[in-house]
Amino acid sequence: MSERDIILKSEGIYKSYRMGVTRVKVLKGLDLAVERGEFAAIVGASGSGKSTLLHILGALDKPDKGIVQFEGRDLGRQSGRELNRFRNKMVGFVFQFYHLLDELSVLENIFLPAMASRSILGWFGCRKWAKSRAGELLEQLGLAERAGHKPYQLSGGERQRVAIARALMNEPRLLLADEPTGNLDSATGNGILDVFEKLNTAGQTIVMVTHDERIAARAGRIITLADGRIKTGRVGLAPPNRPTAE
Amino acid sequence: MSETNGQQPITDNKVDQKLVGIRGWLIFPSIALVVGPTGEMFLVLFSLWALGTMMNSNYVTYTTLEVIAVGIEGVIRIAILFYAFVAGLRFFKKSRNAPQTVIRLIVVSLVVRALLFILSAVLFESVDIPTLVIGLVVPGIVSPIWILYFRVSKRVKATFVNQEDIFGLPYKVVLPIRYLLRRPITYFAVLAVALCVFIVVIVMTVMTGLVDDFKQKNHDFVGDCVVGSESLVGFAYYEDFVKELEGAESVEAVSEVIKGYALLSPRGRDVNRGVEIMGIDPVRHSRATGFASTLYYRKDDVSRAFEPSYDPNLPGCVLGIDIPLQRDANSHYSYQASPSRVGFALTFFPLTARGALAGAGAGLVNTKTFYYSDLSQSGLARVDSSLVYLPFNEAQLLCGMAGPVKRVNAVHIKFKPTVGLKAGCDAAAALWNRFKEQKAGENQAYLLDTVAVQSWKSHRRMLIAAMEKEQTMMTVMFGFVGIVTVFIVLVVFYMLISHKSKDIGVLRSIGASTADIIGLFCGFAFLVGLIGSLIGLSGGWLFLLRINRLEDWLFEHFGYQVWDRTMFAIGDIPSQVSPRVLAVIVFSAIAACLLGALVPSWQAIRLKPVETLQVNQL
Repeated sequence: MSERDIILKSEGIYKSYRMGVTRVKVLKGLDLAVERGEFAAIVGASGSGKSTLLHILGALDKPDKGIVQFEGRDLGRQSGRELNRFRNKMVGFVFQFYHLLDELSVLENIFLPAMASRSILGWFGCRKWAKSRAGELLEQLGLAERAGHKPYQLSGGERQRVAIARALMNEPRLLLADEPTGNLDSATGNGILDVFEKLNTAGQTIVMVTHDERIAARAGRIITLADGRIKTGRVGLAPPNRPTAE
Repeated sequence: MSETNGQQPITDNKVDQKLVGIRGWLIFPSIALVVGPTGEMFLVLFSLWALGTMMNSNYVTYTTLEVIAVGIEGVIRIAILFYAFVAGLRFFKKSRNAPQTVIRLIVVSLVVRALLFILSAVLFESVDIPTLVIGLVVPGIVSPIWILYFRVSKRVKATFVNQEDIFGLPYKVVLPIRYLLRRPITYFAVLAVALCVFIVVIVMTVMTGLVDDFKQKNHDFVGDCVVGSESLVGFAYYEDFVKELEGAESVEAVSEVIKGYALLSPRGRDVNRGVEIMGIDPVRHSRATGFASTLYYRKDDVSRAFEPSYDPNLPGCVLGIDIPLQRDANSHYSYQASPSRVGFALTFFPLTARGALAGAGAGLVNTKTFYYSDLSQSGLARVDSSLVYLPFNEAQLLCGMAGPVKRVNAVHIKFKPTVGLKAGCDAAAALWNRFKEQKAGENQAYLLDTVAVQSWKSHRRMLIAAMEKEQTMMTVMFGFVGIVTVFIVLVVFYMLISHKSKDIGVLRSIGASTADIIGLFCGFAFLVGLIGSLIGLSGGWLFLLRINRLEDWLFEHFGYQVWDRTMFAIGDIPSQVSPRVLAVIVFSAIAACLLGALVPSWQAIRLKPVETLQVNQL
C-alpha cells in the first residue's frame, strides 16, 4: 500500500473517558490506515471503542494522544474553521439513529451540508447545483417520491437512505458509518449495505462500524478492534476497489 | 431494495385519469387564484395611495393611529398577496403542496378579514352591515366548504401530485421558523414578550403622555423664556429692555408681568384666602404665552378678558378655574352661560424698591374690588386653584410698582418658530447682560442683579423635574419587567436547546460553525421578540384606543378611577401612541430576547457533537 493510496491514517491513538472516579481507557495506541476506494468495516464488542474511533477519524472528537492524518494532513493541527470545512467537505457521517432534523423535509435534510458551508446569499447562488445534486441522490437512493416528506413520515430504511444522501451531498471523499444497520431489520439493513456496496463500487471510500460480523463481512476489509487496539485485519466479501487516486 | 417497515409509495398508479387536471369544481379556485391576487394588488396600491395621501394631507389632520392602521393594513395585504401568489404558483404547477397552501390561504384570508373588520369598527366606530355580510359572513360560510373540498376531493388528490419545484430557504432561516411553529413551549416565550410589551406600551404611553402634557401646559403658561426676579420687589427700567427685546430678530412677542400675593375675599363676606396675582396685558400676554386658550368666556376676544360681561365698566379679574368652581368626579365643571356678578376684594401689600412695605408708617395697604370676568383653566393644579389675573396697570399700582421708576417682576418672551429654545435664550441673556451694563449707573440698578434669564424648562424645573423623576422611576420599574422577560426567554431557550442538542450535534457533524449555531438561535430569538412585540404592540394599541371608555365604564359600574379627578387636574388619560416610544419598545423587546438567548446559545456551542449524538442522549 503506497502512501499515495492512503486516504486516512491514524497512529498511536489513545482515548480515555472519566466514569465517576475511574478513568476508562478505550483506545490504547491504535494504528489504522484506510486506502482510497476501500470499504472497511470495524468490528468489535460493545464498548470496545468502535464509535469513539470513528468520531476521532471524522474529527468529531479529539484523541488524548496520537495522530490522525487525512490525505497526509494532520487533523490535530487544523484550526476550528479548517475542521468545520473538513467535516463539511471531506467526510460524510451516517449514524445508527439517522439523526435527521425533524423540522426539515427530506430534501431540506439532504441540502443541509451544502447550506452549512455557505452564507445565506451564497446558498441562493448555488441552489441550481444543489438541486441537481440532490435530485441525483434522491433518484439514486430511491427517494424521489419522498422529497417533500418529513422524517417521521418515513420508514427506518428510508430515513437511513436520507441520512446517506445527506452524507453524500457535498461529494465527500470519505463516508463514515456508525452502525448504519443497527436500528433496522435484517432485510432493510441489507438494503442499506447494498447501497454502500454500490457507492463503493463507484469509488466511494467507506469506513463502517458494526458489532455484527455478518454485516462486516459485506465490506472489503474487516478490522477487529479489541482491547483498544486493532487485533486483526481480514478480507471481506466485497470485491477490492482501487480507482485511480484523484 | 426491499422494505419491511416502509410505507407504500405516495404515487398511486391506479388513479382514474378522468379525475386528473384542473377541471370540474377546481375551475372556481383557479379563477379565484387569478382574480383574487389581481384585486388584492389593487387594494395594496390603494392602501399605499391612501397612506401617502394621509401623510401629505394639508386639509385633514389624521391621527398617528389612523396612519399606522392604514400602514398595518397595507403590510398585511402585501403579505397575503405574496402568499396568494405562492398558492397560485403551486396550484397551477399542480404541486402536491397546493391543497394545503390553498387551505391556509383561505383560513388566513378569513382571519385577516375578521381582524381588519374589527379594527375598522374600533377605529371608525361604525359597522357597515352590507360590508359585514359580503366581506365576512359569506366568506365565513363558503370557506369551510372549500376547505373540506380540498381535503377530501378525489380530483384534488389525483391532480396535485407533482413534486415541489420551489425549494429551500437556507436552514438558518427555515429552522428558526420551524422551531417557533412546532414547539409549543416557544408560544409561551412569545406570550411573555407580548404581555411585557403590552404593559410597557400602555404604561409608557400614559406616562409619557402625562409628562408631555404637563410640560406643554407649563410651556403654554410661561412662554419660551422668562426674564425675571424671584424677589417680590421686581426690577426697574423694564420698558427699555422690552423695547430692545421687541427689536431683536429672534423675538416674536413679549409680555411684562406683575407677580405677587394678595388676600381675596368675596364681597359681603368676612372670609378671605391667600392668592397669587398676575398683572398682565391680556393681548400681549396671549401673544407670548397660551393665556388666551385657557380662558372660558373670552377665548376669542382676549382683549376683553377683564371686562365683566354684565358691566364692562367694572374692573374685571380672571380667576383660576378652581377658585370659584369645583370639579366633579368625571373632571367636569359646571359652567354658567356667562359669569355671574360677583365682586372680590383683593388686598395687596405694596413694597418699595428696597423691599419695605410702601406706606408702612401710615399703616397703608391697598385694597380694591375686582369683578369676576372670566375663568382660566391652564390644567396646572396649583395655578388653577390659586392664581388671579388682573389688568397690568391696576396690579402694578396696587403692588407699589407704579412709582416714578416703574417695576415689573418678569418679562415673558416668545421666540420666532425658526429660533431654537437654547439659541433664543442665549440671545435674550446676551441682550440682558448688555442692558444691565448700560444701566449700571442708575439709581435702582441693584435690582437688576436679582434677575435671571431662564428657559421655560428651567423656570418650571421644580415642577417638571418631579414628573420626570416619576417617569424615570416607572421606566426603571418596567426595565425590571423587561429583565423578567429576559429570564423567561432564557428558560424557554434553555429547555429548547436541551431538547435540540441532537440537532446541534448533527449540524456540527456536517461542518456548521459555532457562529452558525449562535446565529440559528439568535434568529429564533429575533423571531420570538419580533412576533411577541408585534402582538403586544397591537394589543396595547387597541387597549389604548379604548382606555378612556374603559375607565368610564369602570367608574360607572365599580366607582374606580385610575386618577381621582377631584384631586388630579387630568382630563382624559393620554392615549396618543408615540412612534418613537413604540420603536424603542420593539427594539428593547428584541434586544431582551437576544440577550435571553445568548446564555443558552453559548451553552449550545460548548456541547461536544459526540456527546449530543450518543444513543443515551436521544
